[in-house]
Amino acid sequence: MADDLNTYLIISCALFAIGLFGVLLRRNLVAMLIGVELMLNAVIINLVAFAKFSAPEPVTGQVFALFVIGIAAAEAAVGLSIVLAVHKSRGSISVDDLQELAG
Amino acid sequence: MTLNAWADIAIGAPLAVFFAMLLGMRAWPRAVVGLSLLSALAVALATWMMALNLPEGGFTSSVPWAVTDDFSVSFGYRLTGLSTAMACVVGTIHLLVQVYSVGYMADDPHKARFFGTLSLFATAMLGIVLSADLAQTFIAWELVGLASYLLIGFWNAKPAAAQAAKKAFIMTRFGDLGLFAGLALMVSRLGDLKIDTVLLAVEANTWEPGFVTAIGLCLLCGIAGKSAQFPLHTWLPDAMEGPTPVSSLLHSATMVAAGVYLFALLQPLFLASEFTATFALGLAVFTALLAATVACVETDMKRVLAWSSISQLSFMLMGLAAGSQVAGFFHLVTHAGFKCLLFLSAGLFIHAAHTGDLLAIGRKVGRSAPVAALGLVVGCVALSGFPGFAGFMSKELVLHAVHEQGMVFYSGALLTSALTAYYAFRLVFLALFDPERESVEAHPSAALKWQQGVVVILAVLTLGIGWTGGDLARHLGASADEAHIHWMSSGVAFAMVALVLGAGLAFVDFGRGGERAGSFAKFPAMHRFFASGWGVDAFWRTFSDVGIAGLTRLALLIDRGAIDRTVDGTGAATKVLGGVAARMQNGRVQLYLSIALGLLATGLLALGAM
Amino acid sequence: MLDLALGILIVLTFAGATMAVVLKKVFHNLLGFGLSLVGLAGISLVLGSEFVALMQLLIFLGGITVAMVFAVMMSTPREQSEEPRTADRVAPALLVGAGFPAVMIALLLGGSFPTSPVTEELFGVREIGLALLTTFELPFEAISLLLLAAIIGAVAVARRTRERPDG
Repeated sequence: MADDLNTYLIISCALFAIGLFGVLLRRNLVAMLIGVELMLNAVIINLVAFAKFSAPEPVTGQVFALFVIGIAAAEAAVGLSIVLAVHKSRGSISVDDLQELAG
Repeated sequence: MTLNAWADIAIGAPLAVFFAMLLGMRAWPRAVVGLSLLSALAVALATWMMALNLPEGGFTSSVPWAVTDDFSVSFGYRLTGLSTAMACVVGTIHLLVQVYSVGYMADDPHKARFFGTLSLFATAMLGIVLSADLAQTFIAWELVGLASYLLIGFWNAKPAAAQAAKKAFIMTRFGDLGLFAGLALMVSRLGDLKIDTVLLAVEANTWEPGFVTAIGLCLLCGIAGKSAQFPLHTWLPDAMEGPTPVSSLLHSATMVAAGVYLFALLQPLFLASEFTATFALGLAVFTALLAATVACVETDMKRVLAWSSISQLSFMLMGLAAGSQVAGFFHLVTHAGFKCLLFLSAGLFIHAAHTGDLLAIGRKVGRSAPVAALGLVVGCVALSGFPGFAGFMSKELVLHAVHEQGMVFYSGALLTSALTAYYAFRLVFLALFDPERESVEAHPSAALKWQQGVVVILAVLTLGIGWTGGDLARHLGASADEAHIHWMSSGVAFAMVALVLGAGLAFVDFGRGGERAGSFAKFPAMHRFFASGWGVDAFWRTFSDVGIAGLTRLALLIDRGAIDRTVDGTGAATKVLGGVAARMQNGRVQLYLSIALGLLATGLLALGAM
Repeated sequence: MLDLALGILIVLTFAGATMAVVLKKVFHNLLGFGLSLVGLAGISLVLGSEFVALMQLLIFLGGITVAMVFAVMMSTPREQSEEPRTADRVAPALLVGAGFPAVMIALLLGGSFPTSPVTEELFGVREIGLALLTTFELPFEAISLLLLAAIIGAVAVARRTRERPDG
């Protein structure tokens, strides 16, 4: 089981599914961010698994995983600051209250 | 100086005046008038120099202007007996009219514009006459149209004048369509439009008869527009709204003569097709008759002269279409003289009476204006075809030429001659022999001297011009015999009978005072028919009302039905789609994400299925 | 042995992930997220990539989760359980959340990937460092720029609204 690429890919997909479900279900901005982070982690697992089993240069996959981690950090920083800004300006962090641009 | 240089002067000098006027010299009207007179003098001199120094066989010089693989246009001069003779007529009449205008327009605040435009007219007309290429002719032809538009509508504050200018412009444009089509047909075969090329092609008889006929009819359409032939003649009487010197110039030497000149220039082309020639002849006879009858019942002095112009132009075309260049062109020359004289005399009358109405002129002015009366009498005698006077000499040649073409045409022309005599003497009797004339003090002014001087000069010219036929024929390259009049022939006798009948009826009707209605008024229906110009004007009005309104309605239908619907439909569809799209933009990130992933999954499935 | 460890880690990961998504209080979500991250780092270890595992722990658990805790503390004092769980909310989320990965799994099970021999020795920190500073030098620097921009941006966004609380 641990030697099979598909195991990890399925883990990755399932984790992505849970993250996606979270993003779609929740209305709380922080909870939605958690969902996004879960999806990003699924991608990282994916990259490392491919690096181990499928890539001619295993380093490449890991480096990309690191990049994803870095970008996740940046995203979280900006996302959380937006959460704070939204809270400051309207006292709530539910996306249901952010619909000014609705068509 | 070379012929080229003279031609440059003839065309360039008036053009320079026009541009000087355009570019700001309007502020000094007297300077423009002076310059314009100088240029007119130069033009007259140049045209006579060209005519007198013309070498045997003519002179042509041209430079290529626009050259493509299958079509080339050149600019240049083509001086022949015909073109130089025509140029002399234009130059001389132009000079006389300019001098006359000095007095006539003395008090007009816009006289700088007037003289500038008059100069443009001369340039355009000489451009037609001296051109070596029909494309160049066409350009000048349109310039004549423009200048006539500007001059007829010179008193543009007067609605009737503006209307008349528009009418003249649009009606002649109708004809120009045909002219353009004819030129296009020729280009398609020849590759260039040099007059020499065209004439050579006609002479070589290389075109099939149908093609020649088609070209001829197209060109005839343009000529009918410019020279006011049926059914495109209705603009000309209305064009009387312009200042009288303009009418004079327009109707004697320029504009209307341009059509006749073009016919004379391309006469071999028209004669090459028997149908075209006969058609032109028939059209001319019909127009002559129509215009003459209208002239008999018209009550406005200038409009009588205008209808007479149409009729006389038809005589010129008759002569040309009957195959005699000398006859047609000689009539053009004599007509230019006496019609100019008549208009300028009419100008004096109108100036004095402040109205153009014949009866009013007879009552208010009459013989108290001796110079005008002299001009009118000389002009009318010439017009009516009194033996020895200008009109008789040339008309006799025309009638002689028409006689050979068949009795129908000849009798029509003779009848027109009788009518001509009738309306010419009607004019004289109504204007000069009104028994109830109020005696009004004549008040000669300094400005009037110019006008009177010109009228006297023209009267003398008119008296003499009839005897120049032989010289003209030689100048045109024909033998002097062609201009010889057989005095002791049946033709002259018939003409005399027509003259006596017409003049006699006029004397019976108007010569003895009494009621001034005339014989035509005894048949009210006919009188009405003639006075309405045979209903041609009404026809065009109906045509524009029904035809153009129908066209407009059709366009409206297409616009509303097809184009608007399409546009509205596009808009509505966009709105509906936009509504759908807007409903998706509900501000819920979740929905956006779902849509994006749904699309991605679909794409991946499609890729996987491949 | 490895399979057993992987099984435990999987259970840990999905338990945490489910907590992170399903529980109603954001703070509980964060705890579950942390648990899930531990499991994920373990899976990376099982795959043989110590450095990535370390970074996951360090950045996700040590950085992001902690930052989120602070955000929750500063933003959601008492309204943590505000969300109603009605069927019309859960159903579409479930549909998309299950449907999309289902498509993906179906696709990846339907195909096969090229395999290469497993090279354990290339997974060292040394190789990663070399690659980052040679082949991937430019993206590496770009990421550092991105992080800098994100930090400045975050500060700017958070600060401005503090100055204008009603903006």
